[in-house]
Amino acid sequence: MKKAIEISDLTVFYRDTLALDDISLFIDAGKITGIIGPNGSGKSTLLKGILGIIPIKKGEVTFFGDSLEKYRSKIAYVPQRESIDWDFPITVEEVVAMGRIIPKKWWARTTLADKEIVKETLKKVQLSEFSDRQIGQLSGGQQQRVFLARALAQEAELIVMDEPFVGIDMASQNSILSIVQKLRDSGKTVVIVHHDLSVVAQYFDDVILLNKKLIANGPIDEILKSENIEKAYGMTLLLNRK
Amino acid sequence: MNDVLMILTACSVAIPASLLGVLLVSKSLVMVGDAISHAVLPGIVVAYLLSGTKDSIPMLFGAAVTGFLTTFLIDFLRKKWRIQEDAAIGFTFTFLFAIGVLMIALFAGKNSDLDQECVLYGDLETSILDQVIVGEYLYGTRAILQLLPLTVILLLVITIGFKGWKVWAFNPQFGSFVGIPIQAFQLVLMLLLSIHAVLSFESVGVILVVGLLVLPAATALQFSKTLAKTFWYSACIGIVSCVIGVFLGKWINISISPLIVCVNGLIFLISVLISPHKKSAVPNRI
Amino acid sequence: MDLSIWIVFIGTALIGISAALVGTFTFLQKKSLIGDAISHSILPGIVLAYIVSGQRNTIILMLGAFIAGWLATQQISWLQRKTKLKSDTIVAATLSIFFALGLAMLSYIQGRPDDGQAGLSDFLFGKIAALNIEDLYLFSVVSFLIAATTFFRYRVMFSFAFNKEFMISKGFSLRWNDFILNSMTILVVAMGVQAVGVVLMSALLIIPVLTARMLTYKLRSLISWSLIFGTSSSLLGSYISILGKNIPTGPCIIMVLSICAISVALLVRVPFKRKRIQ
Repeated sequence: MKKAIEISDLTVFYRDTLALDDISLFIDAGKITGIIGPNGSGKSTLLKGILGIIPIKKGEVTFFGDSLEKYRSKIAYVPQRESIDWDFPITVEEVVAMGRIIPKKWWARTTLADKEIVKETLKKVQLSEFSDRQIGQLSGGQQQRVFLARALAQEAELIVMDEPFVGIDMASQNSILSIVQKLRDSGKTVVIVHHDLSVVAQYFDDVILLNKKLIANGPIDEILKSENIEKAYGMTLLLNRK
Repeated sequence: MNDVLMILTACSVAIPASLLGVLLVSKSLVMVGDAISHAVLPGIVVAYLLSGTKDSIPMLFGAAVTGFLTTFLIDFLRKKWRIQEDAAIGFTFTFLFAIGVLMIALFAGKNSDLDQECVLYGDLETSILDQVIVGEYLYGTRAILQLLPLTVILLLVITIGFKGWKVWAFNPQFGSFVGIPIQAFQLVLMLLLSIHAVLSFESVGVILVVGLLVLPAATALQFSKTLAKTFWYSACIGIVSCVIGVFLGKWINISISPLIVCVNGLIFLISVLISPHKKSAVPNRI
Repeated sequence: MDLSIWIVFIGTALIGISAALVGTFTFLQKKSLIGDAISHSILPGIVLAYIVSGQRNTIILMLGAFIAGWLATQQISWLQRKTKLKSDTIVAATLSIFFALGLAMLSYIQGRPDDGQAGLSDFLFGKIAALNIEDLYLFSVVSFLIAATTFFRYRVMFSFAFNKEFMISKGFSLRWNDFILNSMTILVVAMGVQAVGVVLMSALLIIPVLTARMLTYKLRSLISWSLIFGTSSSLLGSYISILGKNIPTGPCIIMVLSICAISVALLVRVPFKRKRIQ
């Protein structure tokens, strides 16, 4: 099994406190991996750290053996919804078109090919009719789908999502999950930071349990044993899996 | 004697400024404070035109009106017109300041007592010539006598309302919930700020007032962890800067009001360099 | 119309165009007040340039302004990295230190701060009539630079303003983006204060885009409307100030801008109400 992401000895500080302590793990390619942990466990920090969005104290990260700089163009990052200003004067289509900007050709206008890809991805997430709307006019689930569309427009190999299921309705959640599954089935790697355990059992292939340190990492069935949860969350949980 | 008068006058501007500044900095209202200081210009002009003098009472009235007007306008722009905060502040103070400058140009003319430059930077050395002498006793300069009651009121407001200020600064929603008149606190602050700006412009000018508001408080925050200590440190730094500024000004031929702000600035920058607080790890911000 | 009036009109038009363009992007970044900070901070640079050149030489004055403005943005960045102070505190601290330094230097070279040599005072409080044809050439070059940069970089600047983490993850440099935007701001401020003065400069950056925002949420329209409001107000404002003979240009332009903004706000009633689609 190829390693999509390999992390060694990653230590990250966030505002003078230790956010991640010596994390070493790997994420398999072609799978949906969930990163789970309580609040403040460093899940978002892990994503931002490996993508170079925040500085790391020490550690090394490779993507399919390559450094971040070499592999960057194949990674799509879907940010947390709370970090977005929904009043910003930007339309749905413009957000998705952002996915086509590349550092090497930053001056380029949107090409016809780009516009086609944007149209296609909007269709895939069922937002074609909203392409000209300002993003604040959409519902929570629709807003999340816009950012997923941007990630799709990037035509990336590795998709990294930060808490995509916060505050969205069931229908949108399912729709996003089915898109994610399609991505996995077509060979892409998906990493999702998630806040609770309810959806995990059904959709994720692998799970990483985090609480500043790595608690457990592996296929979902093994990891979701009670004692691992206890180590991560500090309490015992009764899980009901179908 | 003149030295003493200058130090006292400077301190009477700097002490209330350093205290007000602590409140502004705690609540990120610094630019609003900057806006109010600039926006008092039309208030001063109207008061001057209507009363024909630069007397305190009409000026104070002009100050109060513009202070409230500024706060009200910024709030209105943000809530009713849904304009983002930084733009609302920028629009409000430039609009009001422009009105002030126009009024001066149209109605006050070149020969009058009032002009744009003097409001902007003031002149400590000449302002102390405006002295109040009753019989044989020199009671002080006009600035000292006007700012002293303001300082006393400010100190009372801070000490009596101290717990309220803490809640206002750090957790206003909680305060509203338990019945503390948060809005009133804010209005009182804006009012005192406008009055302070009006009383100070002759000695320091409105732009330098911002320096006296922000710098001591920002310096104090490098070292103190409680609100009370911040007030104390801030006031001390304000006083020390005035003393150093006045003495430096005698030695080198530089105007004292900007010098005091420069001294404040130097103290601030040094304090940042030697501060015991560790750096925050947030990257790439501006 | 004689040459000096042409110079006034073209000069203010160029300033209006550049300020509207740069202002749009500082507005999108929610850093509208950086224009105010920079306009105050350029003072020591201008005084120093004046001391060095001995006369009112616009190129050298603008160079001095640019260096001072750049130092101010560096100080702001440094304070943001080194302290836990909030942005507004840092910006206000920087602008007052630089401005006080400038005033101190000014008083050193001539005794009293408000006794300014005419050239200096015009530069600070705005006196568009003091512009000459060489200044206009300089303005044209600067405006062209700004327009060209905007033309090529607007997509990147727009995306950074909206979602900088995404752009960083794509490998774009935040430092570089900020540097370019700050440099454009410093250039436009160094030009613009000559028309409207230090205090009112931020109005030229803020009000056109603020008005435009009430009319549209699309970037292309935002830029277009900003340009329309900014340029026409600058022209109209300078025209009125020439008619009135004694009225300073700055406040006239700002009043025209403000009236535009207020009129649009009233016409549009509640600007851009968010409607949720379920």
